Amino acid sequence: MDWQGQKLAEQLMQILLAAFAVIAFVIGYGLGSFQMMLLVYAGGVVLTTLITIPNWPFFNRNPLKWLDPSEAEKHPKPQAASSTSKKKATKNGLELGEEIVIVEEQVVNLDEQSMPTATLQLKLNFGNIHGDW
Amino acid sequence: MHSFGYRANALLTFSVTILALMCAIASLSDNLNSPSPTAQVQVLNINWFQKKPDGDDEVSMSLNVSSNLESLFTWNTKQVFVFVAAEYDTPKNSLNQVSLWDGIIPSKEQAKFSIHTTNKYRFIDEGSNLRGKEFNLTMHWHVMPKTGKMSADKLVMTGYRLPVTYR
Repeated sequence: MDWQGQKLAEQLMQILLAAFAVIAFVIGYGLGSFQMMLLVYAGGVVLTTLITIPNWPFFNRNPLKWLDPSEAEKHPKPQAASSTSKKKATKNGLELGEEIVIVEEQVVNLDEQSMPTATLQLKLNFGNIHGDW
Repeated sequence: MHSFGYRANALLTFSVTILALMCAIASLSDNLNSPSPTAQVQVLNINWFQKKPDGDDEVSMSLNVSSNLESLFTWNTKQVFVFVAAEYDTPKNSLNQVSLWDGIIPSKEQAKFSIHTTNKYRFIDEGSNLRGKEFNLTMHWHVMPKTGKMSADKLVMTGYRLPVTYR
């Protein structure tokens, strides 16, 4: 089911059950039969189950647009190697100001794959700064 | 609501909650009923009236219990439990209640009855106080619902008296 379908299913379920409860009570009270009330309500519950629980097509009228697999291959995820090599090149000319700038850049370029290596680099640089103070 | 089990659970919980609500309203609808029962008990005969070897009085009597309890029944009534009790006072106890007869009425059709019977349960005093004793016969009834709160009421009939001497 899509999102709209899920919302529709929930609303349908609540409205149908409440409506059947009212109908069952009125019929039971009118006939003076407690058993009739329970039977009508049980029938209503079964009907609601058949309508809302199975994955009918009308629940999937607004399907989500997932990215086509062939499109995804044309735009690969950025690699970890490029960002760490950039780090090593500037390491020899350390100045306090420069250090901070590079750290900021690192944070912006982070993606899930390179996160662990970037963290390691950050720790090493902070260690150097501490020694200079 | 993204999976079969999730929707099934939501439906089950909601339907049972609604059912509980329906039963509560059904029970409350019983308050709309204003019953008007009638009852009459006649003591036809005192069969015997003895003092037992352990010192307590005992009496056996024939009763005619007639009553119309049809107005107690609603759509939410499962059965009515009715019993007749003899009530009197003694120097030792300000109120003694002895159940003489009871019965279960399962439906409105059987709620109008007239029964000729000896006392179903023994009428034994706690001591020897029954000679010439004035007593009430009270009919109690408990209305047992299909769902909800049980209610009880009674009807007191006065003016009965036991013989002065043993028979």
